[in-house]
Amino acid sequence: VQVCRQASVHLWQRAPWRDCTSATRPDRAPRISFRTRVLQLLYNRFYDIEYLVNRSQSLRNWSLRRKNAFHGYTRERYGDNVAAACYILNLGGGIRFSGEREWFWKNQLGKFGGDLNHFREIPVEEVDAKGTPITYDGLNNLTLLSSLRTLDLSNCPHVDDWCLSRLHTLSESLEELSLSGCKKVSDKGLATLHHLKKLKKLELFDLPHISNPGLVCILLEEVMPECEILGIDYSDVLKGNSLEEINKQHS
Amino acid sequence: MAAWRRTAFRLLTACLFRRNPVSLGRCARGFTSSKALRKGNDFFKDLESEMKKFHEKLVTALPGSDWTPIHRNLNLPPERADIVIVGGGVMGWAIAYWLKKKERIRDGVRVVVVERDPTYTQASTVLSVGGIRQQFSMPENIHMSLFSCYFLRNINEYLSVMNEDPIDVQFNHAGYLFLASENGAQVMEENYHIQRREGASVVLLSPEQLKKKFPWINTEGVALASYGLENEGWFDPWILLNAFRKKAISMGVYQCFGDVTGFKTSSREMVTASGEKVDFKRIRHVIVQMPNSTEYQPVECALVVNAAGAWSGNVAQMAGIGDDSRDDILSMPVPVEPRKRYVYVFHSPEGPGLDMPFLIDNSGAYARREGLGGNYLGGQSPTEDGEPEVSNLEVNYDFFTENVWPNLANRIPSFQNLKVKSAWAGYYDYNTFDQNGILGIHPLVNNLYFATGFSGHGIQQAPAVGRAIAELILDGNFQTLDLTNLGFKRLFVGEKMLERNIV
Repeated sequence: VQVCRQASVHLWQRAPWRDCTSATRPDRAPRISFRTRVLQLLYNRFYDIEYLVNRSQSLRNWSLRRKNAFHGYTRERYGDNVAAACYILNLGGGIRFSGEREWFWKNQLGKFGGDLNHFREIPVEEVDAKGTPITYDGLNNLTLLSSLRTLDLSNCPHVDDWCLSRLHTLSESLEELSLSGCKKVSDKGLATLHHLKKLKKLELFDLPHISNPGLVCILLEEVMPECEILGIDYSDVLKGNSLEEINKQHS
Repeated sequence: MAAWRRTAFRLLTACLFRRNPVSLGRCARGFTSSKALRKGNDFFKDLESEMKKFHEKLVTALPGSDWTPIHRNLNLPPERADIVIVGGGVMGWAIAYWLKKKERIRDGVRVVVVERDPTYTQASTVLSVGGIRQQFSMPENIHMSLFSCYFLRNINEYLSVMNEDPIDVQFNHAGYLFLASENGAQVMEENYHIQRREGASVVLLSPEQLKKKFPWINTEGVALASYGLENEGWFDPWILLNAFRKKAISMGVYQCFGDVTGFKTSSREMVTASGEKVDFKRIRHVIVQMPNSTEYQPVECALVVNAAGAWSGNVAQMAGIGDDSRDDILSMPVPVEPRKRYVYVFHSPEGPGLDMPFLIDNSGAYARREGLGGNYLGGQSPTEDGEPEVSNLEVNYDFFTENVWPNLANRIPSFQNLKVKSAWAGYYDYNTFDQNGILGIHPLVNNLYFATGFSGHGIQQAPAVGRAIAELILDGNFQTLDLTNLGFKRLFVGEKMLERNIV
């Protein structure tokens, strides 16, 4: 369905009472696979297919929401830190408590140890959530951590500007944040990072959705003077154009 | 010899099958004339187009189609509809969407949205600054705004249409910063407690903390500041409107561009409990006139929703509300009128950077950042006696130089150096009674619902209002948010539900 949603427009204008026409985009002509085209045709003609497709999408949303549920029971019984640890480990990420040198991960069978019980009072210091399906609702588990120092959210497909705006609760302690490869993050979300006063290192590699990355980097550095921003090069502004070409354009 | 036989054979087959006279012409030029060639071509082309025409005629003439021998204007609304929504702004389309979302069976309600202006040149929705905040003093407003934030966050779950790009409302999460002088500090603190209790993330800042956080502010005269940390900011209202519209149309809502010029009502004399005689009305037909034409269509309907924004008072008058000649409740008009507000776009090279929130000064002037290039949006609500006239949307630049600029430059010193780039004006659907929305059914016109009078904070309550009206219509009662305090009763009883934080 993801593919269906991103395909082009011409098959939509079938039913005559459906007056919604979107602007034709002549410059974008993605290759639509035969399977997608058949599915779209069937979607437009049959109510059953429409119901099934919508249902499968809502099931996908439901399962994502379930993975990111708030671990309220765990929090009541074992405390904030263990709840956050359970949540991250369930998603497939890693966690490190303060004072410990070893990281906790899920083992191959998908289980993690019961010795988390010992860490009720010890705060979580680093969270590695690379590539996990963490969402805005799931961040409710992490915002309770009062001494989180490192948060690695690189390559998380569902992290967007809303998630970044939620990070303000970690403003007292967060020192390193990584957002590389998060496709939905844009410069509006990055503007909210000024709440994180103690942030020292910010990684912003490979963020395609930001317009003017060089300008955003300069503005961010103005607002957060102590923070080191990695991953955005000022020469990105000259993407593909050499200096001579730009001079020619301006003269 | 063999060559002659070959061409003769080709000619023969061509004559018999008439397949490709063009190539034949090339091989045997002497045998066919160019005239015959042309005729042959035309015959095949004509055959195709004739078949197409015949097919179309067949499709239209078969039973079950809308073909009639009488010429019809297809832009007219349907003759019969269940719910007619007057007004195609964000409120109208939000209500249409939620109605379709909540109906239990497919095509359970036939909804028609009637909009006067397809270009939306005067609609408040598209001319609004698009801010959303939770810093209100009424819990209902706070909850509506919180739900709208939730809606915008998950907008793709609600409003995504198959085959279209995912929706991005360009939400800037910058937060609102309200400043209060000595007089307003008490009220601000009370509001803060209400907001925290209802679940908004707001903090109070003293002048020193304010200066430390935003060094570009001049804290002279500020006693207290209230800063929204989350779920506050601004977005693009046009994208939201279009998203609602596309999704609603894909779910089967009829869109009609026309002007509602009147209602045909039927009335009944009824006696209230105190013995007073009242006229109980019901709208039977909505008369929709086509733009630039005298053609009109009376749409027979069950319910009418008045979401006409700044012109809701006029629409209500068509139903007989506000008729001075009577002396029952119907003589009381709907207190919504258009008020013009200006928004100025200016550029300031040394202005505040990425951390600038939507700043609202204690003098009423407001400013926010626009984009990354040092452009800002600013304005101010005029005082009661300084209200500009509402007949057009012309901008008065003197208002900026006399009122807005001094206040802004006083608060943000770097704004002393600015240049106005452009400006626009829009209407507030101003509720002269208490500046809060009117939601609900009119007590005497029994099938007229109102969703209007939001006085400048309509866009941020639109998804919640849409859901509330759909619940009223389809479920009979408010199910999720109880908004009975915003109903009509307060207008008749005279009890003002004042919102203390109006921008």
